[in-house]
Amino acid sequence: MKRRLIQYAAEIIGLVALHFALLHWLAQRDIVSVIFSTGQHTPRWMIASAVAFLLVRLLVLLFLPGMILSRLVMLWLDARRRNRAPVEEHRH
Amino acid sequence: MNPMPWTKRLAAWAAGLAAFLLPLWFVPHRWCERDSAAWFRGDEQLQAQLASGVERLVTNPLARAHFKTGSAQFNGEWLFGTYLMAGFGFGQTALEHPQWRARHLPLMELCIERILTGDVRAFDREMWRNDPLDTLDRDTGHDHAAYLGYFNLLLSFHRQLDPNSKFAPLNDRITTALVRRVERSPTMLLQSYPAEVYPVDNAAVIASIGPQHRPLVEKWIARCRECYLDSKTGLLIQAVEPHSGAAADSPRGSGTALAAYFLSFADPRLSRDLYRAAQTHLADTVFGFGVVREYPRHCREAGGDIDSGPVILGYSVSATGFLIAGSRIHGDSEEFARLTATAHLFGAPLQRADRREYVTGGPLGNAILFAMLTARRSSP
Repeated sequence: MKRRLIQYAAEIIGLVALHFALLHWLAQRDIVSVIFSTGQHTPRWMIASAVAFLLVRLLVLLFLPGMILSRLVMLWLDARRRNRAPVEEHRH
Repeated sequence: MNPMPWTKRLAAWAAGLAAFLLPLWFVPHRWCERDSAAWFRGDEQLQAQLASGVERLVTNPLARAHFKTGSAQFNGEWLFGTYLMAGFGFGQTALEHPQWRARHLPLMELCIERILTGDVRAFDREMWRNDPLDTLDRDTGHDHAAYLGYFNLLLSFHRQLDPNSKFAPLNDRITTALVRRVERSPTMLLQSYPAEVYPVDNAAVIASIGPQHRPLVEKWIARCRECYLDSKTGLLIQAVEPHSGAAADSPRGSGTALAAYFLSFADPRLSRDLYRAAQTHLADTVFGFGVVREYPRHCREAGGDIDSGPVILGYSVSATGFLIAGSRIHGDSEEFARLTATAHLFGAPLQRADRREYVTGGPLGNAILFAMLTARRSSP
């Protein structure tokens, strides 16, 4: 359980760090502002970067809290099942 | 260890799903709207930070080439819109915080001077094949409503802030031309471009002549309520036929929300009615985030265009952004919070030193948000 908790924490920190790194990097180059004004002359790599940034941002701001809580709940249920299993096997 | 029975496994998955969905409903929008109360009451620090961000954008050289809409015409409109909205933002913040006048009035004047340059006027000149300022003293059917209406409103607003405005003679010349053209028009509407008439552009025209020509404004307001508002919803028709004034497009969110902002300068009652119509028929929430539809439900939806911005699941980027102003002007703090949460989520504000910029906004998006978030609250 401890190992999985560390793995989850690393994933969360990684996602948040990726979001901040992209935010600063793209802001410096004024790349992501094409997302709401794309036209025929917008280079594809700019559109792709902007879309990727928005997806990461939505993942972090919208879904991360739910992902954390659901993983913790699943982890807790799993741990409870493992703790109960030896007792039930002993009864049988 | 025995395998888990399927009922328990299902229960575990249901618990996991509930744990995933529960925060989605309660956490993200609250996190994103955490600054909304401060924005609503006109927090000095937040406004100063965004003003600094917009100042950096408008004091650096900007040109049509900076925008990438795919159309030289729209790039020109966006260049014009950037200086226009930044000008309103600087004016509004100078009014709300009088101690900023010394800094923000010159910035507003810088925006006006940029709008006067040939490069910024070019989008309108290319459409009409003559210059909007060279044709002020003669009526050849070239109304130039897009350039003159919005620009004159900024000039009138500047004059309200500085009665000795150096732009007063130009403001008077444009006002005289617009009044003459509105009085001459059988629909009381001016053409933005040849054979293109947009009531929202005319809302800016009317707001710009408001202070000196009240009877004409009252007449126009009555005509607008009678002919250019959708009878079912009270939303503003987006485009009309040039000669008959019959609807040429649906009532739409982007035009209604923007007109509610501009008309607040001339007629708070119509502005309030447009805001309420948009709030009632178009505003929605998704996981607590405020979003605004481009088309009311009874209208056939078209895709996004230059007015609406991208339309995603029927919700318009422009309408959502523009309605922020209406909610602040008319004291609707709850809608303001929901809409600013969405602006935070998709705008991606970035704080650097004393400067705040919305990363996805670019020059125009930042200037629009500056004007919308600092829109003047009407007295109750």
